[in-house]
Amino acid sequence: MTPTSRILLKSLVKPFYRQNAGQLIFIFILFFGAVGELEGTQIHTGPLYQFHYQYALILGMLSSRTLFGLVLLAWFLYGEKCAQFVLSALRQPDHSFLNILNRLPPPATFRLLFQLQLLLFLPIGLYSLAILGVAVYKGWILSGLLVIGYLFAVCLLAAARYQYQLQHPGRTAWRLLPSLPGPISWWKFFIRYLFREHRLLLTGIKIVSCGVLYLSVKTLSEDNYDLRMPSLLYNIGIFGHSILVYKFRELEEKNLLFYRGLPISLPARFLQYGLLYGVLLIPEMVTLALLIPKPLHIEDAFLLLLSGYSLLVLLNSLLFIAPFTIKRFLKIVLILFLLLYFAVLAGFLGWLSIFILAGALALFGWRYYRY
Amino acid sequence: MPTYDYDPLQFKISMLQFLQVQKSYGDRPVLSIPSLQLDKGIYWLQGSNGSGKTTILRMIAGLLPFRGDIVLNGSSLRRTPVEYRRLVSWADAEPLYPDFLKGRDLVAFYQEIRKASPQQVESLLQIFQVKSFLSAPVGTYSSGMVKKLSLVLAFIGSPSLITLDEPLVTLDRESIPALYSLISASYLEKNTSFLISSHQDLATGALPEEKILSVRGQTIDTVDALVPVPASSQNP
Repeated sequence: MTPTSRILLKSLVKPFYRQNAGQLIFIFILFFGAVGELEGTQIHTGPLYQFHYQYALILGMLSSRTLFGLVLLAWFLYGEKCAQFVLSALRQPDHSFLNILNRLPPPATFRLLFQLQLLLFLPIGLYSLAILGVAVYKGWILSGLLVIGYLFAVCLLAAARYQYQLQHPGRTAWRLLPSLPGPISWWKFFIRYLFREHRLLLTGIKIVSCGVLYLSVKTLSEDNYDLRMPSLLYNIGIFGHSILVYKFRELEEKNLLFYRGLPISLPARFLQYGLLYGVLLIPEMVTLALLIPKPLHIEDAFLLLLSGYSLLVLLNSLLFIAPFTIKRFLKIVLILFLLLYFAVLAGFLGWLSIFILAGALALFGWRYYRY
Repeated sequence: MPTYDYDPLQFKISMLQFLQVQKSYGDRPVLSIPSLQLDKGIYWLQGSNGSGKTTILRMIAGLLPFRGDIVLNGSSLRRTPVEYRRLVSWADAEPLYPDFLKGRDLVAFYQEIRKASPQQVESLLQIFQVKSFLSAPVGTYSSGMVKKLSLVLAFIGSPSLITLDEPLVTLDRESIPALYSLISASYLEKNTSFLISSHQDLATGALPEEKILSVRGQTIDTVDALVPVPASSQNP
């Protein structure tokens, strides 16, 4: 490795992986750890089963155009994430020393930046080799070449953008995606808070919530498919999250008060809370994914997800009405649970969830600046 | 939502306008400012403990709800909350940030939202000499370091008005002249106005065109709750 490559590795590649380690580990676990029951057989573990599982996954991807398109889209988004990280770093004064790369002949600089992008794409690159192997084995050469060609195209485009940024330090290299409304990192503050301050509480709540969901749904069968009891038990787990919602608001009022004074629109603020609770429910999403299509019907999985999500967003909005004590807040939670209980029994969970979500949005818009 | 009549022409002249502003904590009224206009300038907000200085600054910064409206350079806090907040910035007397966040997280967050240039941020970091500890979690900072960080955050972007609550408290001796210079430069070069509350004397002559505002009493029901005092009668 040349000294220049080493500098790029230390100043851009390592910080990227350090910053995104949590997300990458999560995706890794999702792909390689969350291997459950397949085709009605018992739970399997071990490298051989993992091999068969990944093989089946790649076959599914290569044979379904929709899935193939989704995978390519996911790679594109990952490439954009890498590109935004590098472009942002190149614009920072503490990375201005990298402008010295302009002294090299342009093709040499481009080669270095392309290598940099390949290193950032390493996890996907390795997986694409496995895809290529399966494609060659099955004789689907064109699909295999398309995967590799696409990967190279994304990396070449990124390298071109980096070079443009280096050659035009005052300008901003073109964006391939519009930026999200509002700051994208606000919700991450709360996730970091959870992992730093309330790891045990979070683990306990998730074990109960996902465990109850998994075990209660597993009792369902085609002959005896009644979702009411699993829905109730699942929502008890979701209501267990109310303590986390309360702690988020407590943190916000005490240590993140400045956020209210920043120029961010109400929809963008609501979106941040929406993202937060979406991320918080990822373990439940994974659990639901393990349970479909059998014994859980896919539309019911969406229903459960929607009901849990809307409840969390509503609890968050409720805390903008007044500075409730925890005792008073839990009383409100209990009343909500009773409402939900009757809705489940009456089979109105779907409608109630939509109503709750709309109510949460309206309440937030009405109360946010008046709290 | 109640509306408050105002003369748009007037707002082109005055920088900050209070319209029937009333603030209570529970049933206890703490401020009542039926009408007040402030021109561009640097204002020193004076008043005894509990007189409502911090409350006023927080209301102007859009952090506290109240009855009435505040208009800054023609932007109403109630009607155009995003535009209004783009124009105002704030530093608290005793700033609090989550212990686990790093200073650089907050700086990057503000930089992104206020669309500040890297050059401006770099310059502020140098002025307040915060670069050395920016990568550490806020929980490891002394109160002076947190104060410096809050001042850096307040100056990020291009606000028309910066409210500083007790900016001199816990600030080290070297940083005070730097803060004065920054306030003066922002006022003279960028036309930024300041509302500063301080129990410590602001250095006479260190700030251009310093004016004094007096906040009197907790249950203010008089029109002149905030009284602009001519610069000639300053008595720091």
